[in-house]
Amino acid sequence: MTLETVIHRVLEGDIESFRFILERYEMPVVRMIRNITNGTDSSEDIAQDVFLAAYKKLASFDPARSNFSTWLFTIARNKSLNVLKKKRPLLMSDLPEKSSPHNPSDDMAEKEFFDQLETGLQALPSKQRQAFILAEFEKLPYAEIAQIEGVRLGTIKSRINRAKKKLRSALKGVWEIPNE
Amino acid sequence: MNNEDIYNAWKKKKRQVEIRENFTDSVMNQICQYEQNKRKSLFDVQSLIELMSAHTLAKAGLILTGGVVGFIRVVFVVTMVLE
Repeated sequence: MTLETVIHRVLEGDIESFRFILERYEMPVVRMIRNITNGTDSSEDIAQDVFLAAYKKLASFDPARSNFSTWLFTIARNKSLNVLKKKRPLLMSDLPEKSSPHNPSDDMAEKEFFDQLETGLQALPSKQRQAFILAEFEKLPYAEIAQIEGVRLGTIKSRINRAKKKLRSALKGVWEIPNE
Repeated sequence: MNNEDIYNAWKKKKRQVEIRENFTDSVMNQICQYEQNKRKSLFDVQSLIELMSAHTLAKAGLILTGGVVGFIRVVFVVTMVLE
């Protein structure tokens, strides 16, 4: 069954067909929300709101304008940002003090690297962080990210490059993010 | 592990997500609830506004009707004044 058929069926009143959309997109949507909101416990609650909103607005989805996933991710992004607005943003100065360079083979050191990457990620300006998350964790093409964020392709490339640069500089001496 | 391996391990960790088992059912329940409420209150002012705003044709129809009614009223008033 194609996605177009499913959407058509839901719009015709077959509510149960929406389950197909849910099962297909629940994982990426919850993951995206969790990463943007820094793993709040309410990721699944926000995801529920996203799917309910998607169901309500399904008639307004226009396949000529975007992919369904782009449309759905845009709703998820907007809901996540609304939640984020209520939280205090992390600053680069919130990063834990760097200790001396570690041997990455050490498990504790690896955990510390993860923690530092995590804090560095959360300290990025929100637009850069969102672009970075969508590209690096969701593996979305830059063009799709540009559509979700409503900006030009070049802007997205620049945001991702800046995000990597800032992460690299925040963790300088401890960590070097590989160039791709 | 070198730097790249650790960076990739971090990305892999960030991609792992566990969703509670009843997530799909709970969303489907919410949707069913929404549909039931919608049917119950189909003729509420709020639902009518939502319904109208969700359909372009309905919006256009409402504006057109408003325009026509307004025009008829103006013609009626002008006719009354002239008489």
